[in-house]
Amino acid sequence: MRSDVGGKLRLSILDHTPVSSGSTLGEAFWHSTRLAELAEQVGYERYWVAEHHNMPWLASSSPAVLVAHVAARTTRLRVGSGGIMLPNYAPLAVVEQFGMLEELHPGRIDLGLGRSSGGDQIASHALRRTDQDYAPLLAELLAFFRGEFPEGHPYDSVTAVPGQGTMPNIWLLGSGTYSAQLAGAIGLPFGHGGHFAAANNVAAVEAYRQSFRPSPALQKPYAIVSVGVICAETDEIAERHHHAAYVSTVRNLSGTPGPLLSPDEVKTGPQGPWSVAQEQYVTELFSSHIVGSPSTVKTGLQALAQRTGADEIMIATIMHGYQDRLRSYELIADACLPRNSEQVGNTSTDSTSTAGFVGELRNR
Amino acid sequence: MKYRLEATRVTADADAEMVVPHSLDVTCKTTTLPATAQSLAVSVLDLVATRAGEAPGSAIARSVELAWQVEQLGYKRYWVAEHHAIQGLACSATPVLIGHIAAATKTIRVGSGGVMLPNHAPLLVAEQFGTLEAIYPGRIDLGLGRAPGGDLQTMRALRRGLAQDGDDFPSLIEELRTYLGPERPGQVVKAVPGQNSNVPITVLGSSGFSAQLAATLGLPFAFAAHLAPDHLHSAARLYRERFRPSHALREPYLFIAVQVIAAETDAAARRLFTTPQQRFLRAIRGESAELLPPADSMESLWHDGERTAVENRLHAAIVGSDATVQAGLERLASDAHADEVIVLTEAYEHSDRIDSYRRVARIAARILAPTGEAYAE
Repeated sequence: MRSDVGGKLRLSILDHTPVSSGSTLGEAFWHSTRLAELAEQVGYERYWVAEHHNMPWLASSSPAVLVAHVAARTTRLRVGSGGIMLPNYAPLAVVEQFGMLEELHPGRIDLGLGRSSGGDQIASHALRRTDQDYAPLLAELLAFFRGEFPEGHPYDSVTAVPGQGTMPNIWLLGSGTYSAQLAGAIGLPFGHGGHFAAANNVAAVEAYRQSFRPSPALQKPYAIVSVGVICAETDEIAERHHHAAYVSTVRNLSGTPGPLLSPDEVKTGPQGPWSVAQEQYVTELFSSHIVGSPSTVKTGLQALAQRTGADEIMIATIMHGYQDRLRSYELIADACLPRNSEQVGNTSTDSTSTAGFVGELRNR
Repeated sequence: MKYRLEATRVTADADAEMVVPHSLDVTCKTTTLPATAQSLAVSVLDLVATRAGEAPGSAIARSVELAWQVEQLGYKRYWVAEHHAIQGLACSATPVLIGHIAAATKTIRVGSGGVMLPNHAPLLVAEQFGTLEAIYPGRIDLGLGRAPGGDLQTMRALRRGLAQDGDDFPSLIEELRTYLGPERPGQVVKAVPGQNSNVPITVLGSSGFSAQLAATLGLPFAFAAHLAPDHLHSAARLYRERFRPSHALREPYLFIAVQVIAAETDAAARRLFTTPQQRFLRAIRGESAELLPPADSMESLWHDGERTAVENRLHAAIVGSDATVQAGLERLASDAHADEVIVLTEAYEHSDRIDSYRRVARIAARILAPTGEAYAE
């Protein structure tokens, strides 16, 4: 059931809702719904929104609200968080949000959970982020969904409404081996953030598979690896976009953040001075991206799947220009996804290749 | 465009004292709220109550249908409440509900009635409502309250400070307004989205404390007469007396939330009213808050003490035929100077609920709202 079996890639989308120069946040959100519609049409497995704070080039700070927005405008696509940064919230609040989403869109919601903050230290403070350990927070979240607090526990009288009994599919997300092993140990599917921690791609998936123990939620391990991708008609055009994204990111991390710059703006705009450390960091970050024409990207994605043994590759495309970004996902789908009419025309989630997997997950 | 409020100590009816935060910079876009000669504005408050055994999703589907209906009927806003861990009320994740309802409607304002601010980090609230406002520009309201919206254990589960009794509400509002207003020089943490979205804020309350807070900040005030009818007139008076104009609002704007059930006859409406009566009765007994079908009589259901408690809680309710409801709404508009009535209708049958909202829309159109001059007295 790996994504490279038979040369077929299983692909999904991670949306950071990037904000382009010259456009509004509202446009960014409405673009996200267009992207989700495309995802549904062309057979992406799922569509997740990220959580970031205090970053003017990324608008996805409220994943639950954004999931509601996107799910209301699609009909069968799986929609979820990639992820909710659990220590930023009271577990009960997350259970209520995603319990409600699962009530509204039964069988379509994924709740991906991470433990980083999605922002800087000051933003974390403003979020009232807890310093409580992650595992107990996760246990609390699961107990609210399942209504399984032991008798005498302070919360055994607290029922999540909605939430208790309406659990979406839970995923643990990580960038090292901690969450990988935790996900494996409790038999949950796992997502590795390869779009920012590519160096750990292989180690994380391996740690997950090695620690995996079947659970009622999941019989066999299932791992996603994410990757930064920019695809365009030619390698040259894609590289041009990638360079603009690179310059924007260096600038954003060097203390003068703003919306993403277009390739033309990068040519004419200020060239720094940027911090050398930030430049080195971004250079390394961007070196893991897969950039190029559809055939270049297809080769890169297949190699990534092969190398990591991931069941699914999740594509994060952070670039200027909504049309160009939409086009990037479209070109990848054309090149990599079986786009026959049955699949496009089908109205049931069961038509997706993960039907068995989804069935396993939902069997609770 | 900027106001500066220096530290102000305000004393309410001896029991409530509050300190408005030091040097509160208030910069807001002017909200145009109607205040002069026209029909009484009406809006909807929804607690998304489920019937016994009903799944939350089904109750939410009825709410979406209702929102669509009242939009056609000319209601101004559709507000959803925040309650936690109460069996029978499916309104815990307020921003998610607002997004869902806004997606299903076109023009009606959708908002919170309200977000219980001490339960949340102000930055998160700013980001959530900033996201909604970016998606639905000009349609989002942010009503803020300070109650827990649940019991003690639920507060703990929400990580709400247990020592907290709502006294930090003013400073939380100030923090929130920092994230919703224009970026300040040197501001390190920004709400993306949210910053400079100027989502209109309304202070909700059921006491003199919140009335004075709203007045001091120059914000609209929504009084929960469906919960605390006894304090309605004193809170309304305090609000108008202490009101200080701000850039958000030049004149006081008072919302009154009240239970209204209109039907063909007084008797028919009173029968429908047994649904909220039973819900309050069950709440007093610590039972679930689910909606029950109307009862022919309450006499066999409550004993005298319970009856008194329920009636005390619900005595502001306006229940009856069109004529009765019109008289009640007129009284609310004239006696308490309500600029806008937020109508809560907890009928069991969806058709009865919609029929009541339809009647109230027609009645409100016949009632002239109090004019701006009336406030100046």
